[in-house]
Amino acid sequence: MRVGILIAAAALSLGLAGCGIAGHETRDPAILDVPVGFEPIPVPAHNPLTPAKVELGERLFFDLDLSEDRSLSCASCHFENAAFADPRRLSPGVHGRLGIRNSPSLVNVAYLNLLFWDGGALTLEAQALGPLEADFEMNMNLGDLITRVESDPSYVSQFEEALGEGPSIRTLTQALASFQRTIRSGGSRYDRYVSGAVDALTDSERRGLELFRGKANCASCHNGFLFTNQAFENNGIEPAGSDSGRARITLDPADFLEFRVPSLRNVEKTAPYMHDGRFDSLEDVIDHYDQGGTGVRNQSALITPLRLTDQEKRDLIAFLNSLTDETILTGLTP
Amino acid sequence: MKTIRTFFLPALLASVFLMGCDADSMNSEEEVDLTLRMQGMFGSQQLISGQTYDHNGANITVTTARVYLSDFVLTTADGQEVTVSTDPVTVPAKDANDNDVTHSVTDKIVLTKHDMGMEYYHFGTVPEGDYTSMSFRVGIVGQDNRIDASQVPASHPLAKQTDKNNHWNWANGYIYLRLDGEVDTDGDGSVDEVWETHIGKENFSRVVSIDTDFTLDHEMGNLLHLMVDYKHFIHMVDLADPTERLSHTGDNLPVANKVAGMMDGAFMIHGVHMDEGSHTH
Repeated sequence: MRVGILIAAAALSLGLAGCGIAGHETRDPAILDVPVGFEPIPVPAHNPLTPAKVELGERLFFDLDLSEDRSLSCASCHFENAAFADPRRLSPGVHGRLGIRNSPSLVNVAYLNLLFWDGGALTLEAQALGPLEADFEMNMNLGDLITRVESDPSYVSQFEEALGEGPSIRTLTQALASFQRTIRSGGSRYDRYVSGAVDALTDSERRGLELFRGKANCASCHNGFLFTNQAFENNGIEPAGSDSGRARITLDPADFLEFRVPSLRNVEKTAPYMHDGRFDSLEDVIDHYDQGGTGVRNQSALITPLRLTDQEKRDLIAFLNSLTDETILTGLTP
Repeated sequence: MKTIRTFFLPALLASVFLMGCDADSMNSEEEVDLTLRMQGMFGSQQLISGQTYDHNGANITVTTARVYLSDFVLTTADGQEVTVSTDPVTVPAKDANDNDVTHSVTDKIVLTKHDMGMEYYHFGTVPEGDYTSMSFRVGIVGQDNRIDASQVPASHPLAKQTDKNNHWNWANGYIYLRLDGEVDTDGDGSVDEVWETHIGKENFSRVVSIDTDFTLDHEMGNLLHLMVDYKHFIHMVDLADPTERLSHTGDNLPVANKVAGMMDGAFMIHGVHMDEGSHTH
């Protein structure tokens, strides 16, 4: 029932502004607004999106108290000015501990069907507990986490107001997920171009777009309004350490070294690249694909030598840079 | 006993048309309120968190000893299967194709916490009488293993445990068997390295069937005493060997296979006693 209301509200919000719905489930239509060409935000029926939950989730997202030694928040590894990714190859966790993967961008994360580079989390709510508990990230015991949040009376009252009950694993993850569902971006020059502003892209960027869809074959995986098909692919990079990618989740050898196809929106701002941040620049990434990967075991058949000219590489990168939405980089807070 | 048999004859005839019966759906005077006592052992010794045990010649401690059990079935002497269910809890989940669904968990699920001394689990009512076997699954499988554990009410055994987690955040699914501790690797008598055996994923779930005659009777006994030997699970694992010391299933399949292969023999029905009712879970 609530989903139906939300979807209808989302559809209406594309054309209307300022229409509110009264009551406990009051929604600010702005939190359901989506860019032109985007699908309605998937919101689970058990966790309807409300301004109060979003506000609480935002507070939690930036709260250092959510880490063991109170040194890290979610935002410590998801920087707003880096499209909610991390410009470091690996993000230091508590006590400087390093994991094995680059922190992915959270932009448009509401649309992802499975979370993490390997799809190990089923929902945005469940995903929140991964970094909170991981000993190389925030290293919080869940009981201690709830006790810490409960010790702040202002949190308790905010939880009561937003969710009708106090802090718990369930309510905390619902609030964090709600905030993250509002991190949306679709205001790039490319978006203006496809909306009819033909001058929004330069000649080089338009040539890059043609390459992206054609010779360079990027769009085989990076397609749709998110520029990802949400599949898991082995893109032909040599393994580092023992990370087996999607196979770690499925235990299926056919999934060896497969990782999520990431969205390319704001890709200019989300360096370094690949699941382990091994490439510092888009030039490195293009060179990797141009040579057809490394031929590692289980490499996707889609990765073949491209034989791009230097000009074509420049055009392709120019197009990728046109996917930047400057508004997401500052003051996103809904 | 005659009364019970008299009752069971028509019941047996009726059961010809039924695949089984739900313990909670039975409504008869001839029922008994069943409690399961799960006693944690390490070999022949009581399992006590932090105590030092010998394991294949090495001193080890056990600081976490937990196992998920589901799909309980009691088989009566006349072949009737009695299943155990609980009040449903409905939570978000993904189906096998990763589509969003909601799912109701109705199965009786037990999460042992022998490192905390928890032993008693209320099962509801089952028919009084003679039984010949009990079976259950070590692990959580199917749709129950694809729920969003973060959204399960805290009182349910499938909820995120706030003391020590029995659910993988990074690889959605329950940790069927969680054993943690320390091991003496240099033989000086003192434990010096952490060991962890975390087994999950459906390939490593096993159904355990214990063929033992027992009688449940409201006058003679309603407390079914099941012993679980955690040492047996890791009997084939050399915890002093650095390649076997840590296993989280996917990162150490050889150890996961060894442990799964030992699940069947790790349980034993000790008997049936009268439940004094001084415990609730």
